Amino acid sequence: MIKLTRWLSGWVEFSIAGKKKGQAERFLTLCARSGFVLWGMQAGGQESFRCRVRASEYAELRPYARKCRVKLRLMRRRGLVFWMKKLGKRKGLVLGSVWFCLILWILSGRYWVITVSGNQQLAQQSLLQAAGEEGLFLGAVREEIDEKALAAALMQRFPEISWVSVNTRMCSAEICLEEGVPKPEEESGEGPSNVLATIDGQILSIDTFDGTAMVQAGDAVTKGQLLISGVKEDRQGGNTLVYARGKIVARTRRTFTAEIPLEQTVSTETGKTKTRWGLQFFGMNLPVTLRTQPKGTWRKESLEIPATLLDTPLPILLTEEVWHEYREEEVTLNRKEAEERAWKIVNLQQAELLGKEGRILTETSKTAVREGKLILTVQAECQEEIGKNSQILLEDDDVKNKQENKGK
Amino acid sequence: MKQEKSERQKESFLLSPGVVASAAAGGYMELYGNRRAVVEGSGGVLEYDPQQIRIRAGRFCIRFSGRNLCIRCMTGNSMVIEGFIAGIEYQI
Repeated sequence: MIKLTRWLSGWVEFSIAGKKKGQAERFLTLCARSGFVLWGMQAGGQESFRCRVRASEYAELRPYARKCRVKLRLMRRRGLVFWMKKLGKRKGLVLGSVWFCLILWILSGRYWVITVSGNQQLAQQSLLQAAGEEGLFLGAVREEIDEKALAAALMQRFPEISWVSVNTRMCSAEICLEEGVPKPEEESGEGPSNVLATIDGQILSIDTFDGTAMVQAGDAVTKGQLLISGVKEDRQGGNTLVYARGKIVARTRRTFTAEIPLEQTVSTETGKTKTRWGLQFFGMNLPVTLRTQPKGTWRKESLEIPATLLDTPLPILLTEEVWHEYREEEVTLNRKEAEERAWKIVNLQQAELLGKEGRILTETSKTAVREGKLILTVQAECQEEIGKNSQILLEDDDVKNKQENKGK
Repeated sequence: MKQEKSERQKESFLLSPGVVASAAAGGYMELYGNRRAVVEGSGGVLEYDPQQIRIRAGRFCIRFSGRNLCIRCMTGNSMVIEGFIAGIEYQI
């Protein structure tokens, strides 16, 4: 502490040389008695010493030196004052220091690291994008961010979130969230409902979980027909409305069609690649490779390598762009290739329509080429679940009362 | 608590009339082993040498002898002497 205060005020080291013995000692005594603080005294040889004193007091020692007939010689100068004088000559260094302080001040007032934690289903990118639209982006001014308002806005944007908090610390912000558990589908029906048929077919089995079954196995049903009623009659003859649930499996007939053009444009890679490197530094994109974007038919693949320090992401990102050249060629498919593609499409359609539990019992296919297209038509006999809930619409009591009043 | 008490005792000892009188007579000296001596009430340097330092302290003249002796710091009425102190002698 003493060293620091001495350095801040500045000190000088000087030598005291006297001709006769005792002159230097007398000078020291005189100075000390006059109120000067001396330190770091070293015997430097015959009748001479080295001593340190505050820089501002050195000039005041001259009269005492004359009185004691000793010669003072300045040896060293140290301290902030001298350091500043030295620096004053190096203007570039001073300017650089000022710039450094200024940039540090500007950058420390902004957010440079934004992380998301706790998300499982929600994509991090969409959360960051939403946060950016609400004002929290790389380089956002710290004072302008209201964490509570931001959290509320994110809650509104994403109904899947059950809890969210925006925690800020220095130049980093963390969006912590908890995703809610979605309601099971069976319980999502709020009001009473019936189960109707989605397609014509013949019932193979019917399992009623709630409601009254209106058909039985072996019955033929048409699209929209009531299968399980949401009106339930009790033993006393009273009716209650329920959310009808059940599993109705029926044999159905479906037609699947796929059209494949025989002449197609296929892109083939030529094998030529170009790589461009870039650096994203505090939100600014800086090109590292002095190569322009290739012109023509090129496909781009991007890779981002974030820089981290002790598991903390830094606002520095290395981006790699690999450009692949490709050529578009007109290819004519033969019938076999076209059929293979058409079957792939039909299989996808079947999987989508029948779901996991549905299956194909029998199928017949027919292919034809018309107007340069191969048309595959598949007639299939399927086994699938055909029940679909339809809400029973009820008039509100208030509406009824109004209608009654109007009638009066 | 204990430390506070000892501090108070120390202060009362320092300010006792006997100590003040003796300090005025020949200075007040604190020794840290044989490496450092803090002298209060010193009147000035009479002789300064790495082997011996003589200072004025009240009515006396104190002579420190040893090796690599130096005055670390010096004000109007106090000084700190450091080095290997081999002996302290009071001269009247």
